[in-house]
Order: sequence, then structure tokens, then C-alpha cells
Amino acid sequence: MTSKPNNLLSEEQLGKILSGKQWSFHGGIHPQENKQQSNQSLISDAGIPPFLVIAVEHKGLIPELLVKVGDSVLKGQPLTKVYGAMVVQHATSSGVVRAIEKRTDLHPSGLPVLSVVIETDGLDKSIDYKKIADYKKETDAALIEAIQNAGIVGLGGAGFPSHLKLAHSKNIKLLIINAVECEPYITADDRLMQEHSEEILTGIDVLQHILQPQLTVIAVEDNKPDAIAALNRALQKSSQANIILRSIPTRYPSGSEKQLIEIITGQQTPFEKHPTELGIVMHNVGTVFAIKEAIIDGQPLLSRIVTMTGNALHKKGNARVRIGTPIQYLLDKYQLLPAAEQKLIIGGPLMGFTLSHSDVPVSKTCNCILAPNQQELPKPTPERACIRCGECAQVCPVELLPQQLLWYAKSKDHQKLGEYNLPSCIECGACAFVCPSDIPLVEYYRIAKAEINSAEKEAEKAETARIRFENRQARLQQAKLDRQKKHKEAAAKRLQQLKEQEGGEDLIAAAVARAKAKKEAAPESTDNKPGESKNAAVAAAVARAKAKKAAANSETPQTEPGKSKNAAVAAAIARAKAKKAAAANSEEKAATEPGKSKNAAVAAAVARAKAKKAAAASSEAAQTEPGKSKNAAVAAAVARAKAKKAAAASSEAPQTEPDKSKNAAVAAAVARAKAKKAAAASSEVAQTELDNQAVIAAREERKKQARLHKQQKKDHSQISGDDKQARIAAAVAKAKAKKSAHKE
Amino acid sequence: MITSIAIAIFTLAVLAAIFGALLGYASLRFKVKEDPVVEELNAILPQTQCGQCGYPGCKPYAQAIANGDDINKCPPGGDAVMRKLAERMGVEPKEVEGEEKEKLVAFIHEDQCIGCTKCIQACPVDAIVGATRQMHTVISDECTGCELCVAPCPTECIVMIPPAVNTENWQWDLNTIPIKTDTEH
Repeated sequence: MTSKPNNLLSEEQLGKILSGKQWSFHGGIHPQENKQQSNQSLISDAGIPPFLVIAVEHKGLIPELLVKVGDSVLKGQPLTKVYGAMVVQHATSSGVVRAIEKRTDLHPSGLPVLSVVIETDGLDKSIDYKKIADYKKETDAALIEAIQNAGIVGLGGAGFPSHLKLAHSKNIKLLIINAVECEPYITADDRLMQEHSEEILTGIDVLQHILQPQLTVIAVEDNKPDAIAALNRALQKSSQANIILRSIPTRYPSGSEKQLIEIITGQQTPFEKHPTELGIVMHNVGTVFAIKEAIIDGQPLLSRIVTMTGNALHKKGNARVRIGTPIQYLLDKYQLLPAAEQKLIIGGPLMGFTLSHSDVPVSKTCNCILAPNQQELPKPTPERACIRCGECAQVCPVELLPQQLLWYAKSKDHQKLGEYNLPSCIECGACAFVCPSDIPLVEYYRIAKAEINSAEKEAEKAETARIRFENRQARLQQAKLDRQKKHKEAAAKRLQQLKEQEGGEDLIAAAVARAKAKKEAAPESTDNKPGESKNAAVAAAVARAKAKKAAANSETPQTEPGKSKNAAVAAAIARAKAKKAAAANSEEKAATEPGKSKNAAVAAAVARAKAKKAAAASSEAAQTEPGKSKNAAVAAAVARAKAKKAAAASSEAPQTEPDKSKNAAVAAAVARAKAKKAAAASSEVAQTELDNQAVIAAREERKKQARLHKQQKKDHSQISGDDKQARIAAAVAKAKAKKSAHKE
Repeated sequence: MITSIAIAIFTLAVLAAIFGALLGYASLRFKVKEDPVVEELNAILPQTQCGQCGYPGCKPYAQAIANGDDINKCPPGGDAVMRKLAERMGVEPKEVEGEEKEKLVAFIHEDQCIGCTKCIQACPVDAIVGATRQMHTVISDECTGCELCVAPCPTECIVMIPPAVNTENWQWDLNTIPIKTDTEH
């Protein structure tokens, strides 16, 4: 096949076409034509059936309807709006809309589609058609829109919307009018050309105006001499240039688009390419006639020529049938003499499909209704084994290998079917026609194509599902991260707010942070904590001094042995005291010594030590000593209260250590939880001691705390120095512990 | 003698260094981010995301197969998918676990829907639309038929139905066309 980057028809090729050269395509068959039964009489009018069923759904798409049940409609009135690529559907006679429902469509599937059912009134009253005064003054787009609004589709059989074909045709060199009608029995185009040749030429004029081709070829098979003669007469009368009539040899399937292009131009259309890429566009002669009616007369596509033929029909011939006319109405009119197993074929015997029942309407693509009897179309004989005779390969117009395709179709080998170009099969049926084993090859290919098609659709759907699934996963993941971030931000904000406004819990956090800082800096901090360590240092220094003195004394007055002994004892005592004093500063033992409580500094030290312990591990100790559980709870509470105070005094501590604030918060939470636990352990005792005073004390303490955390460092020393204050704090803590125990 | 050996060793060392550097660069430059086998296996799987294989979606199952799991755990894919997986992994085909069902899509009886959004949360491909206390509906074109939305529905208003057939998705009816389709020849 030609695969040059530019497949456009060359000037040289056009010259050859003009000179009368003709080409041929591979294969083809010569079935019995059976055209004379229907092409001898004039086209008759099928008349107005009592009901018209006009399908408005197209490939599952439903357009917006302009009518509703009960509406009166006139002939030519649009029933639908333009919906995407869909064409407008019209009422084909006047009457009343009786139903809008699903009715069986003229389609091999026999599926119901949404249809407008019109009960005709027999008046056939028409709307006023809006004519275009001079189409030559209109733009292409306006004419194409008019064609869409007229509801014109390809009348040759496929039903492709004509406006799309026109809109997508750019740089057209050759316009081919397909009047080949190669399928046996069908004579609709033949009669149309015989009776309306001048209108067809006018329609070609319109197309030429839109497409501006260099050349127009009307292709007719040479088995239609009357049609050729009629067109020749019309051509002589008209002044149109650039139109040539080409009579081509009768051979099936020369009416197929790509085969006809090969006959006329000698060029093959590459697989999966459109003829417009070659600069060629093809329109069926019936479509050309419909375009003439739409543009010149302003009349939409309301009817088409249908060949009524087959030996089961008493009358035969062509009829102008309104779209939507029930086929049963036509069969009655043409006097069907049904046989036992009467077949009804829409289209020709080679490419048509069988109807399951006759209660379906004529559609725009229905060119023939064939009602054969048993002699004409006997029951298919059972298929026999393929003998590999190769007849099918010889007749295939697409040069495929049908017998190979049969094997692969039977074994469902989709890959091999693709390699053997099954998708380019035009389903013409030539292979099955010549098969000596009566194998219905085309049926196998149709099924295989359907399977490949559905497999492709499934794969597409799977791909969509995969993408949707992955997008969803990504979205959920993102949402999760966002949520976490939001929570983190909210927590930080809350912390900040508390720090700025309430102070409450944050003070504990600050205290814990400070305690931790102290713990970490324990070796050096002794010097930094004047209240606590100074005392110890002084005491130690004094003790050392005393010890030295005593030692010095004991050395020199050796003449006084009684004294030396005393001195040694005194030194030992002093050392012991010093040790004790030093110990008192690091252990809580100092708190139990009432004598030292007077000392404000020591008290402060004890309080801080307690705070430390409470924050770190005091409750554990309390729990390990069940007898002291009440005390532990109280101690924890006291520590909390004191820690608060301490933190108030040194509120800048957490600010100097911002990286530890988070840890502090966590530690605070842990400490709180532990304190609660401890309180819970002693709840029984606590409950018995609950009294009003404690509640009052607690309230006072809360007030005090609010006041306290605003105060400065200086206040701290005063408060911590106050023993009384400490006692109040203890009471408050006790009350609080009770309260929390009570709550639990 | 010594010189020639030294030259040989030196040359080989230089060559080794050059190729080592080249390979090192190539391994970085042409690095395959994901295991291509997983992608290939995932492409074979039907992407229903139904979880019938025991993994939360098709890709995790593809990963599991690549790591040596059985190939016969995908009932929606059926025999065809199992055979493709067997071919890809170079293992013997096995009978698919669970029954192969015809393709169905979810359908919500909208009059019974209370708008709880549970089915929306269950749907792995976002094929259900709706909002809290608003009626939900299934986009049947996007539905993979995984049935994951059926169980969470508190009013049991979700049923699995065959997808609607129209002239677009209709296929030649394989049963009414009187031909034999024997695969043994």
C-alpha cells in the first residue's frame, strides 16, 4: 500500500482520470444481479401510514426533544435539537405525537431505542420551508449547518452524517459521486437517477460550491444503461464543467468506498486512513439528491427511495417512503405472500441483515427490503471443513487471506487476526459467496471483530479504571497528609494561644521544660541556682573551714591532748554537718526537717526539687509506696502548683529553649496523666476528706494563680520565701487532688 | 618482561576504571524506577480493584505475583487473564479460584438511598456520585463491578445489574448467529 507522507492525488493522476483511464481492484464477484424485478417501474409514493415511528436516539445518545406527547406536529417540523454530531430528526407527516418511548429500531441488534410515535392525520400539512435564496452567496459553514439541520446522513447504507463528511473535507481535488449500487436486487439509486438526473446535477453543484474540487466523477455500473443515458442527457443540458460520468464494469463490491476510489483513481486508501487524506471525498447519489432538496427547496430529509423486491412480494418496485413508516405497512402495500419461514432482509442479500419481526420503522439508511422465497434464497447448507482451495483469497477485494483469518477467528487468536489485517475487512461477503464448503466466513469475522472490539473497549475501561483508582489513592494520601499538617498547625496555634492568653497548662509545660533543663545542666547548675546551692556551698565552706581549723588546732597544741581529741571530734561533727547540709540541698529530706523550713531559700529549693520530681517520677514513687498514696497525690499536686508558680516566675525559660517546648508539652501531658493516676489511687481517702473549705481554697488559689502568672520574677522570691504561702499551696493542691478524684 | 606485565596491568586497570565509570553512569542515567514486570502484570489485570485476590487493588496483586504469589486469584479476569499471567510469569496455568461471573454494574435504588456516603467511600474508582444526605448514583460507565459498595450500604439499596445495552455497545449476538465455534482443530 502507498504510504508516502503526502498521499494527495497528483495533477498527473487527475489528468489520467480525465483522459478516461480506469483502474481495477483485486478480486470481486459477479453474483446474479436480480435488478430487473424492481427497476422497470416508476418510483411510487408509499403513502402516509397511520403511525410513524421516528427513532431519535443515536448510538445510545439521546438528544433534547422539541415535542412532547400530545403535541400536534406538521410535516418537516424538527423533533430534536442538534446534539453534538447528531443530525436533526423531523416529523415526516402531520399529526399528533402519541408516544415518546422505546421502540425497536431498524438495526441488526433489534434493540429498542427512544422514538417519537406520531399518529398521522392524513392531511400531510407541511411547515413553511425556509429556502436559501442563493446558496452561492452563502458560506460553507452556513450550508453545512443547513445540511445538518436538514437531517441528512449518507444514504448509501452506513448513515454517516453528511455535514461531518463535508466539514472534514479540506483541499479536495476529486469529488466522487457513488452511483454504483453493486449489490444485487437494489435499484433505488438506479431509479432515482433515471427520474431525477437534473436534481442530482443541481445537488452536485451545491457540493462543488462547498468542496471546490478540481474534478467531479459520477461513477455508475454499466448494468444501468437507462440511468447513464438520463445523466448524460442532463449533463448535456447543463453548462457544468469538470463533471465526468464514468461507466464502470459491473463487479461486486465496486460500490465500496475504497474499492471505487481504486477503480477511479488507481490509488489505494491506506488502512485506517480516510480518503480525504488523499484529497478525495465520496458521496452517495441519494445523499446528493437529499442535499439538493435541503439547500434548493429548503426541505429536510423526510423520505427516501426504498426498493421493495423479492419473490415473496406480489408487487415489486421502488417507493418513496417516509422515514418512520412501519415495514409491515409497506409489506401490506406490496402484498407480501409469506412463506413458512419468511425471511426479511434489510439491504441486499450479501451485506444486509435479517429482521426478527416486521414491526420496525424504515430508517434513513434502509435502501432495500428484500422478501425472498425459498427458491431465491435457500436455507444455508451446513458448513463443511475448509479445503484450503484459496477461492476466497482470490476474490477478496482487500487482498486478505480469508482462510487464515478463519483459523485464527476460530481459535480466538486476536493477535494473529490483527497481523492478518482483519480490521480492514469490509465484510462484503465475497469470500463466503465463493466458498465451496459453504462456510459463512463473514459471520466468523463479524464475531471476531466484535470480540476484538469488546476486548479493546474492556482494555480501555480497565485503563480508565486504573487511572481513576490511582488518582483516588493519590487524593486520599494527599488528604491524609493535609489533615496531619492541619492538626499539627492547629496544635501549635493552640499552644501559642495558651502561652499568650491563659497560661494554665502551658505553665506546667514551661516548668517541666525548665526542670528538664535543670536536670540536664545538673553539674553546672548548682552555681546558677543561688537560692538552693549557695546555702549548701556556704555550709560546706563553713564546715571545711571548721574542720581545717580543728585540724590545725590539733596539730599545733600537741601538748594539749585532751583538746586535740575534742578537736578531732569537732572536726568530724563539722564534716558530718557539712555533708548533711550538702545533702539537704539535693534531697527532699530537708523538707522533713522543720528547723530548716524557716529558711526561705531552702524552702524554695525543696519546692523546686519537688516540682522536678513530680514532673519526672514522683508519682511512680508514690505508687510503689501504697501507704503513701494519698501523700503522693498531694505531693504531686503541690509540685504542680509550685511548678506553676516557678514557671510564672521564669516564663522566659521556654522561650530561650524553643526546640524543647514540644518535649515539654509532652512531658507535661505525661505528668498530668501520672498525677491523675496517683489521685485515682487515693480517691477513696480523698473523698472522705472532701469539704467546703477545700473548694473555697481551690477557688482562691485559682484566682491567685491568675494574678500570679502575670507577676514578675521579684514576686517569686517573696512568695517562695513565705512559708505560709507554701502551706496554702499545699492545701490547694490537696483540694485539687480531691476534686479530680471526686470527678473520677 | 616486568615492564610489559606492568603495562598490561595498567592498561587493564585503566579500562576497568573507564568501564566501571561508564556502567555506573548508565545505571544512574537509565535507571528503571519501577519493576517493569509489575507494570506489565498490572496491565494484564482487569483493574476492577475489587480485592477478591486478597490485595487492596490490582497493582498490589501484580506486585504480589511478581514476588511469587499465585496467578489464579483474579475471578473477574477469569481464565483469559490467568493464562496471560501464566504466560508472562512462565508458570503453569491453574484453575482460577472463585467463580467467574458475567459483567455486572452497581445500581442504586435511589428512592431507598439515605445519603450516608458509605458506598462513595467504598468505591475504588470514584464511580459513585452524591453528597451527605443527598441521593447517590452510580456512573455505570465507570463502574468496574467490584461489588465493594454493596456490603456497606445500610439500606441495602445497591444491587448488581447487567449493564444497559444500546446500539453503541451492542455486539453481534454470538448465540443467535447459527455457526459453530469449536476451538479444537
